[in-house]
Amino acid sequence: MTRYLFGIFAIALAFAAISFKAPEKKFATKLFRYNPPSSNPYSKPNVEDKSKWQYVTTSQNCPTNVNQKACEMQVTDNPSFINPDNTLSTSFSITASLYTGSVHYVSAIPSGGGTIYNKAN
Amino acid sequence: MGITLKYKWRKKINWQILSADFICGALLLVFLYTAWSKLMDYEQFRYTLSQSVLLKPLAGIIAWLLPVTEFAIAVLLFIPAFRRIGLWVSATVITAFTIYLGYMILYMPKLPCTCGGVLAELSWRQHIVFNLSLIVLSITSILLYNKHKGMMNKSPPKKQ
Repeated sequence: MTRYLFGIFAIALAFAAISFKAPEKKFATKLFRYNPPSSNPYSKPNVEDKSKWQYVTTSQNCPTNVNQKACEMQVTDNPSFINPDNTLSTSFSITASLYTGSVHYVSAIPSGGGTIYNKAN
Repeated sequence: MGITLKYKWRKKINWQILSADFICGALLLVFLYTAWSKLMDYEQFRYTLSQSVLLKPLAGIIAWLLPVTEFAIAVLLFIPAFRRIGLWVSATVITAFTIYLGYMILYMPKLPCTCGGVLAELSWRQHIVFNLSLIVLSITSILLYNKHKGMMNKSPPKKQ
């Protein structure tokens, strides 16, 4: 029995370490900011183009209640939505809607994908 | 006489077998923790594997085969009769992984580590040092067990 002691202790420690770490990840999010190109900066194809969204660590404080043009998204840190290199994954879809002229805002992202922050035109 | 025998038995196996058992416990902890972490974050693990040029074609298989192998090694390390086999398999798997890490450092240093849990926080070089330590520990434990091969599965002498 004594020869199992270290093994039992190691199993207990492994489970403790896993249990301790698990809840942290559940609600983690990452911030992505729209990086508009010089031509047609807020056109529908550009706003919906995931490569135009950059991972940032500080917010621009875009309001949640002004849906006029694309600004930021707080995306759930889930492998289905964010790639390990901090780019938006192919399964993360962005839907842009027209505000005025050729200015679009983000109107929809996948369910559970996070929060949309648009800004005033 | 009984006391002498008991004393001799303790003196012979206590520290060396105990050290080998301790190493097995430590390795068991590492394998169990990393296997479980990989399964808990399975999608992320599979995705990271699929980003590696070397592993891409086999990413789907490796994503479940690796944690299963790690669990199997943990089981072998837990049972005293299979510990030496477990240590050999452990040393082989870690050596293979270290070779893979060497490749990653040379060709894809920006890709995150596919290892589980807190080990993913280590840099590639730190990970190689960590792996080499595990290989040294495995070999040390094998040597210690080999030294006491005949006594491995013996119980302590019964009290007269």
